[in-house]
Amino acid sequence: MSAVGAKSTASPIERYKAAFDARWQGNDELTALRRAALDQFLSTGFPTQRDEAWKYTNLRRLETRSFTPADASALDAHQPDWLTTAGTRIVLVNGHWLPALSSQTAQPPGVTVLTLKQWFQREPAAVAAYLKEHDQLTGNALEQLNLAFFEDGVVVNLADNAVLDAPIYIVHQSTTGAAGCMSHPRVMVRAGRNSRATIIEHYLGANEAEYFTNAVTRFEIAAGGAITHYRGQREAPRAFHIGHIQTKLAKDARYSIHDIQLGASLGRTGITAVLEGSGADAALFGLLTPMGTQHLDAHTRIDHIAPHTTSEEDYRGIAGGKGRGVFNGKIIVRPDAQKIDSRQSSRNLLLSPTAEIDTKPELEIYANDVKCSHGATTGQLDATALFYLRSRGLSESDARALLIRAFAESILSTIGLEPVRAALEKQIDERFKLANETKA
Amino acid sequence: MASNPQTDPTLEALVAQKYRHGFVTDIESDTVPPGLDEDVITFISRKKGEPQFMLDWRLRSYRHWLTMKEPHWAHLRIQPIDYQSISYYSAPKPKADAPKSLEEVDPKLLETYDKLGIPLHERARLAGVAVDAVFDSVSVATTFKERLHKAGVIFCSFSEAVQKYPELVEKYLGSVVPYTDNYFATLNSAVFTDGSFVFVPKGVRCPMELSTYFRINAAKTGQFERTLIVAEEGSHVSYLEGCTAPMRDENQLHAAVVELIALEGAQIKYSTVQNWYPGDENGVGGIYNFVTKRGECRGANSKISWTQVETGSAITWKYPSCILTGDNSVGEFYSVAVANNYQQADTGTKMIHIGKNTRSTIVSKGISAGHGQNAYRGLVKVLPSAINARNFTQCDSLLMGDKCGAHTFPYMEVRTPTASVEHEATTSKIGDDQLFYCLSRGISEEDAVNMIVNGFCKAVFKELPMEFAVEAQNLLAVSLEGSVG
Repeated sequence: MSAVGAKSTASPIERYKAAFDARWQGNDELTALRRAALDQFLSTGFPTQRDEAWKYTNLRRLETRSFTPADASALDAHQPDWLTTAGTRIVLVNGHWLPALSSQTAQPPGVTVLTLKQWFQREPAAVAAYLKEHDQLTGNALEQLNLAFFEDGVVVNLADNAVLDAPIYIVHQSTTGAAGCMSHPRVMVRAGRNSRATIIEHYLGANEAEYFTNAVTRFEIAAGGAITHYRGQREAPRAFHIGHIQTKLAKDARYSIHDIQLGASLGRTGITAVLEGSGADAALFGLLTPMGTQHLDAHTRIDHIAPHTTSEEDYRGIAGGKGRGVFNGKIIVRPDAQKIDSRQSSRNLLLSPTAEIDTKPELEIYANDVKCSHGATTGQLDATALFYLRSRGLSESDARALLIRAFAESILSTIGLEPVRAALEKQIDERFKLANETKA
Repeated sequence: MASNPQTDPTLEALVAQKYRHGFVTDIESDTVPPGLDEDVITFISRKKGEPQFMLDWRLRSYRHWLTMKEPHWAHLRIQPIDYQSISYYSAPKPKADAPKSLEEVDPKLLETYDKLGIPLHERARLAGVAVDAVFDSVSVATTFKERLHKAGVIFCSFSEAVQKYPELVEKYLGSVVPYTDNYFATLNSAVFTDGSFVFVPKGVRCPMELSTYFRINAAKTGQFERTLIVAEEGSHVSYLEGCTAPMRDENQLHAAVVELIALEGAQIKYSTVQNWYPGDENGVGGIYNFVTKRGECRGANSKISWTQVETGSAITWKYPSCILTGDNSVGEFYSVAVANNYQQADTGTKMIHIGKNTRSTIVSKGISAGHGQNAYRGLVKVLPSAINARNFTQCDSLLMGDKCGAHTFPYMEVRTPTASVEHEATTSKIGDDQLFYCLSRGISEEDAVNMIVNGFCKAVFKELPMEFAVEAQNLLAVSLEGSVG
């Protein structure tokens, strides 16, 4: 068991088991829960491409690596690429809370922001009960892995009618010290009736480090609540990032997510929105930008359980180099969930002959009084538009950058928070400017 | 059991040995007892007097089939199939020695056709259609042979082709759907009894629409058809396939394989109207229609077009596909699929773009009523070599009744930046405003629904040959009878 972390010939299953035994002992309820989750993960192992949900994403590379649980590590200062200084900030470094860089100001009324550890210290039974209720039965092996190994996380409670003007900014920073490590952060948000808040999740990494982030985010939005969720993924170029987001919406609740994937060698977000109360609305916006040899994947599932629910989904992919973008969006309309209105769109841009886009927009409909549509396109930059810009004196690379930016803008423009949008726009520009120059 | 089917000596020894030992089944018998083993396959092959290569191929398929597992990925609920309870060969009862003309055909058979609304001779004369009627696995009537013969077109039953043109069969059989392809295609390769063979030589435009009516008649007989159509350089052929089946309570397996090969500049149009017994309103009985249909545009500028109207069968599971190998080749797929009562359909297409400037169009219209479940499943794959490839897909679903389901599973894999792939899909019900408009004009609800449904399917119906289009519209009305409300 001391060999944990070293390159060993043990099977991935054995390695994770050894890592678990080394990190978690004891007999309390939470550990028992962790152990049960681990057992479930061990029994299924990593999903394979024979698994329809993982048809286009191969995890073999991730599976062969040995990652150990990351230790708490320090970070000196505020990082330049953090998105905003306003509002409440919680910083997790390699999956551990770092109080020094988290905001110290008093929390706004109606909001309780705790780290998962703090919550556990106060109400261990409540934590165990919550996890039991929400996680024990998910069939997803990687979510089970998160439950087995999570160190810390963020718990946000919004009281009924609490309206937050400033965002809650959660930074998941991986440092160079994270190399060879895995972190399993959790974010749990419970929004009361008619509450309103903006949550920003930002995943960042340090160059050259190879690590594994396996994040779980849960939202429960009570009647009339509204949550805006920005999720920026800019992990280090060699990192693995798997994220699972699950949102449950009660009557008239609203949820929107803006899933911007820029980093990681292999990145994937799985988003599930369950519309449980009538009048609920979910909006999913996403941008995937696989370049180099990146593999970025978005797997979404919108489940219309209640009648009179609506959803909108718009995902865009821009793939260059040898990048591969994957989009799989499923809309389910359950029996008797009538009067559903749902739109889904997946648009993709291929910039190079070696890039690939795989898209799979699915509809599964068991009710008749519904309006559901989806569309998907894959193509290249419009030659006429390119010609127009060139004829106005723009260089080839400027013209291309402008058109790519315009393509991405329809997703970026859905971001209502100015500093976040500006920062992401800048990052997109830099990314494709660079790509065009190396191409020219 | 031979573990390595590749080694021919072993295989031949095995084949000879098995045959010697005996399934000395009376060659005159019409039906083999239910069950499947190498003896049955050898029996079928010997009975049909096939050359050795066919038997070898069948046995290779069978041995491969034994290693395969029944697939379950489709959005279907299937009662387990007992492959050993199926009889794999049956010939029609009145055994005429290959009738030369319609007059020689047993009038009883013709009567059955009449009951089904297929006035064979009349249709044949009026529409100028040559009909190669397959009645339970053996061809009983072939018309307009001479006219086709004059044009140089070979249109005959598969068994005849194996006898007369073994070199063509050997060259093309399994070249688009290899015997290892999938569970049902492999089973078909092992046990198929008959089917159609079409060969259109270079530069020939087939003078008439070719048509075969497939029927399932004898109880407990799985129908394993094999169709092979080869269009040589610059040729043109349109093939019609229509299906009917009498009432029956037991689920019957139909696992056909259709292979199309279009060489340079050739065009093949394949139209299907499928109206097999769908089971009763409680979902009892009905045909299992698990078909592998695939065409390859092997030469440049070739074109393959699939049109299908699927109203029958308890379960339909088929994906007529196009492999667009040749540069500038074109693939088309037009489909109307109806799932009423407890019918299930999982159908769609695959368009594999390999050559430059290849184009494909997919138009799929799914109608679900009662407890029917209708799924479109399609793959558009553009390989890096397919520069300037173009695909347009439209798949619409119409829901009638609140217990049915409509599903869409499109897969798009694009690996070349100059390709343009578009997919759009909608799901809706018949609009109350549309119905109200029609009713206020004095049109009955039934007629109004028919009209709206026909309008919904128009894009597909217009691709069908004329007389088929009329039949298809009637069929749709009959299939959806009583599902309004």
